[in-house]
Amino acid sequence: MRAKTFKSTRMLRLVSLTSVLLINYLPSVLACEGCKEPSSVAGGSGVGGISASFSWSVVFMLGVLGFLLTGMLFMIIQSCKQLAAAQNPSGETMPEPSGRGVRFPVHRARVTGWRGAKLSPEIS
Amino acid sequence: MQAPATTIDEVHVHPGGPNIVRFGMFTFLASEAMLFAGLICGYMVLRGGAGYGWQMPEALKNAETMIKTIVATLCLISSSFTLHFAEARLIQRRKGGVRLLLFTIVLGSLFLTNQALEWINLHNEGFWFNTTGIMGSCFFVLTGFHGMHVFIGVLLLIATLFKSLGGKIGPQRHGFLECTGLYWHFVDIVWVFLFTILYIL
Repeated sequence: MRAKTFKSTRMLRLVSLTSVLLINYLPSVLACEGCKEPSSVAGGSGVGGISASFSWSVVFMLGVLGFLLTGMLFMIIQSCKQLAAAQNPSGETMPEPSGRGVRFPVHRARVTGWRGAKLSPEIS
Repeated sequence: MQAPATTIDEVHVHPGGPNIVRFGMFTFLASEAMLFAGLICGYMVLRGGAGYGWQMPEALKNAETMIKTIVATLCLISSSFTLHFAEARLIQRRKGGVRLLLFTIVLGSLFLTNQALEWINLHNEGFWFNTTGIMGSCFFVLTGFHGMHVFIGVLLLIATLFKSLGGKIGPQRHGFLECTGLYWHFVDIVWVFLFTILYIL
């Protein structure tokens, strides 16, 4: 525990020293005074261009969000299927309250993992 | 009594169950994707606003720079493939995995070297964060953020190489390798977007 604290203090000191060194270079990476230039441009671009590109950027952001959420949903579904298969290795029918049997879509437990690597010797 | 500590590789091996480590990595990558999406959106707004006033510097427009950047892009894309094959070989403990991993590191380093040279070249021509308006700021922020991610990716690949040389990667222990692979593929995909918007469009 003590060694861990010492290690983190040393790390903190190193980070502070590096930050102080980097601050010296800060003025060279600051944005220039002319960074408001797009709003001062008139004509086809300018403010009109900003609003159009702003709309496109919102569409792009929504697209990224949609892509990520779809990916997450797909992953959750896949994980649920794997879990169901692991709990029901023989693909037995599960009795429903109504009395009808429901068969899982994946009937065999995945005894192999990613690209055929065996996950657990006792399952196989 | 203290519970035994679990590592990223041990957590990963949960027969048949959901892969928690991979899920965590995907969540992290989703947050990274939103970060880059935010930066790209900012770029879109600024560029759209500038219209015809958006001038690419000569140092970026010339054919030599373009060819170098295209070659670097191809290096990065092919490094994803080499890592893909390296992963499969390392997990199954087949021959050639370490060599392919090493090749991936070399390709990633080549990309970084090209970017560093490009930055030096631009700096020498007077093109820097605070000298060429929004174009300069956007270009350096976007490529800099991405370059930092590639650098971290190369470090992770080196760590994976040492792990595999130490025999710590195998059929039952490959969580770290898998996460590194996902990160590397993500960095690769992001570059395809950045290359398109910064150099082509």
